[in-house]
Amino acid sequence: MKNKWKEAILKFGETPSGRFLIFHGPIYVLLFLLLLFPFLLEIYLSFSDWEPGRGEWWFAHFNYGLGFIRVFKDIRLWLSVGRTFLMAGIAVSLEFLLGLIGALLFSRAFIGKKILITMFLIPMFFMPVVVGYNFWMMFQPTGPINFIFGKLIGREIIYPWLSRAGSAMIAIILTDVWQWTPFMFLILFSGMVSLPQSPIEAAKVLGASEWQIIRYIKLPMLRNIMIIALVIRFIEAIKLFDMPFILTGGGPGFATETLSIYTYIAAIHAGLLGYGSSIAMIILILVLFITSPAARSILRRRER
Amino acid sequence: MSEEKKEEKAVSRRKYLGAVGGLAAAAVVGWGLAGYLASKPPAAVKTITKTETITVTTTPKPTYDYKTTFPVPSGATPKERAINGALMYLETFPEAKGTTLVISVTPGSEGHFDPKYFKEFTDATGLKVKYVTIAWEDIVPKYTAEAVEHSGAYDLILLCPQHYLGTFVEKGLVLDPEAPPANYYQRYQPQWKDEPPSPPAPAFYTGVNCYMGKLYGIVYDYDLWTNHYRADLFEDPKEQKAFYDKYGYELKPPKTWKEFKDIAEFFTRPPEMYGTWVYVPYAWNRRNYKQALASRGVDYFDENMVPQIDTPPALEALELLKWLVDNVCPPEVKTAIWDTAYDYFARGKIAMLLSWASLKKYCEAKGLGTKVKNALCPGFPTKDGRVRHAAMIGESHIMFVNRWSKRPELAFALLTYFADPEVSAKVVCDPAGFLEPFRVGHFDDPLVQASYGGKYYTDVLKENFDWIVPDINLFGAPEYDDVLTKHVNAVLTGGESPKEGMKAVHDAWEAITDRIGREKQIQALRTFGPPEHKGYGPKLAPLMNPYL
Repeated sequence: MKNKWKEAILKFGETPSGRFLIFHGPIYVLLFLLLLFPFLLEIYLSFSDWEPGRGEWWFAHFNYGLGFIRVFKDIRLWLSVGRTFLMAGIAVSLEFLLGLIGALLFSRAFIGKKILITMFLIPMFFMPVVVGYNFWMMFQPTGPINFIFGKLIGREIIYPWLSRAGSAMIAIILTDVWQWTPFMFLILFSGMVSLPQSPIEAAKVLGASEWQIIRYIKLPMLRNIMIIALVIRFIEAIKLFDMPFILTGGGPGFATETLSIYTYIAAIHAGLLGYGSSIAMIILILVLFITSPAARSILRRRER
Repeated sequence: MSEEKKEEKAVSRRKYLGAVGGLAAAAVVGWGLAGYLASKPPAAVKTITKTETITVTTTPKPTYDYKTTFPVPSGATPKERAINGALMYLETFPEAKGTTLVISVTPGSEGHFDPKYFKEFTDATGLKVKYVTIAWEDIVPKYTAEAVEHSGAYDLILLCPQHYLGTFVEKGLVLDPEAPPANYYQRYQPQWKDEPPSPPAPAFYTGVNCYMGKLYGIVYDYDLWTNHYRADLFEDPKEQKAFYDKYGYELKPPKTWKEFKDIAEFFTRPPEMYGTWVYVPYAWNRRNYKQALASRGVDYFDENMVPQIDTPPALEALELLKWLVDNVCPPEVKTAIWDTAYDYFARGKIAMLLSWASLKKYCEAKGLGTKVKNALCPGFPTKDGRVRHAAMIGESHIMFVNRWSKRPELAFALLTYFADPEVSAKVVCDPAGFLEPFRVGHFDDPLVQASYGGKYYTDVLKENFDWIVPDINLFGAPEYDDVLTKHVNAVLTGGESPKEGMKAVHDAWEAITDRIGREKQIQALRTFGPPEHKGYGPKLAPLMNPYL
């Protein structure tokens, strides 16, 4: 009897669908538990008016998608979306540029390189809350940043960085750049040192200049790594919460209120978890829409 | 040959293992059997006994199941009743002995929950008490989570700001202390109402402790604002003369906003010195704003929940704050909060600061006692020349029992212990925290007076009772606050004009009220405090009309 079962299982395992189930099945179960269940719950909540503490979520009022309509009408939300994309766009671009320059510089051998790389990576390991608080102190009107600028131009500066809309945004971007440029550097540097050396050596032999090697050999070969670094950082940056929360609380007024801060206020502070879920669903679609061209580009390249 | 040897070895190993296994099994069975026999009582021995019947008449000890029947603890003070109540409970449920009761507190108030303050309770009952700090930003999310999870992670909750009480009552987090059959309040009599010998301030009871007219906890922090001013500057003859020469009247603590503006302007000598400080950052500006608003005779809503913040008198109050921020405050006001303000004041860099009583305690601790004096906060004059002062409840704390506490009886006993006039007086004197005297009796307590700069100061605080402006317990208070303080911040930092900022608040508040339910909110508003003064101090209540 036992042998019969064993034989049947072995036979099933030899068929394509059997192989698929045996090898892929566990990962699908895991994915369902880890991703799909919370995702389905999110979809369910986005169609409800559930507020934690006011009735059971399972019996929450079904709103027939009115939450999504409210999302589209919510001006405060869309302003925060615009602000977030603006800040993320500028910050990630700067981080990419600085990270790439750093990666190019560090790809050569020089004395003290290891120590400098370690030092360069340190900001990334700080807690964002600590970084936020330190920069909050530095950007005070009588703080060290104004002091340094004052020394440079020879007169006292008491500029309220964090209480003017434009400069508050700049302060947040600079803080983010300070902390996350090392991350960009780390990815690009890893990619740079793992590039095959033969094309570079060949170019050198053929008399290519340093710039030509970077422009026509290194950067094209780094393309996929660069896209991955940009996508990862961008997805992280649009979730920006800690920095503006600590530095400005989303202010002055609403000037630096990011999408994450607004969602936190709506879903957690105001307790509108159903509405917060509707926001999250719309944003998820938006992010997928924006980042999918990058993913497609990488996949296309691999297929070629 | 070698194969045979291997075979022999294998067989002998199997045999060996079998023998050892058998021995082990026999040992286990033998052990079990021996244990069983040993646990059996010894065989009965035949004895002859003489039986005597004695009749004893005793009063049956009452039993309490703490589900339908509850004992009334004895004791002359809340502290005694708390300890006796806990002991009675532990008699019925001995398994609860050694239980740790958890109090959730706000950052900065931990000093008030040092073990020395509840040692008497823990020594007498054998219970343990510990506190956990909930970060300011986590207050709403963590308590909301508790309302959903019912984990009982906290037995007592020290909530701040107090006007979030209504929100958490609605979410089902707050134990109703007067609900039958437990009726904790009646049994323990923790003296949260207007009870002698040491009642909490009347307006606090009627407003702050209640939601929809029902009592839920005890206020645990006075938190009323007064005007702290640098007496050394005000009493300096040179300054007095210079002020008189410039403004034509004597330099003394300002009664009206006009005087306040003049004095603040006079002392503004940047970068060494500034006139005053206004809290501008998000969430913090609500105190200055409501204080100024009430002193103009306006509150957030009228009786029908129509926002009043964009009416001309309300805009006048906001414009006053804007003027102060732009002209007589240090540059840090737009981003820094109380710790920087206290530091500025203690260093003599600002002349006046509308603030909590903890500033006085802070200055006492810094040895500045005689240099700092207090007066009522300034107000707008009425048409008949009276001054409408307003003593804003800057934040305040309220302590209540978590409805999902696993031992609500013990939690309520501990709350009663903390509410005790003597215990609470010691608690509020601790300079390591910012909870302030809240019972009427505290203000006459020599220990409290010594900690807060003498009788003079506690008298000013007592005078403030007449001018109290509480925040209203409304469901959705965090949401109302968020919109208001962001727009006030935008106005004070120049991002919006007062009119457009407050119009936006008006519209957002109307939307929140409509979503929550206007009738419900109107009911909460109308049941806030007794009808004769609606939670305002008795002298302020008749003046709460901007057109007087």
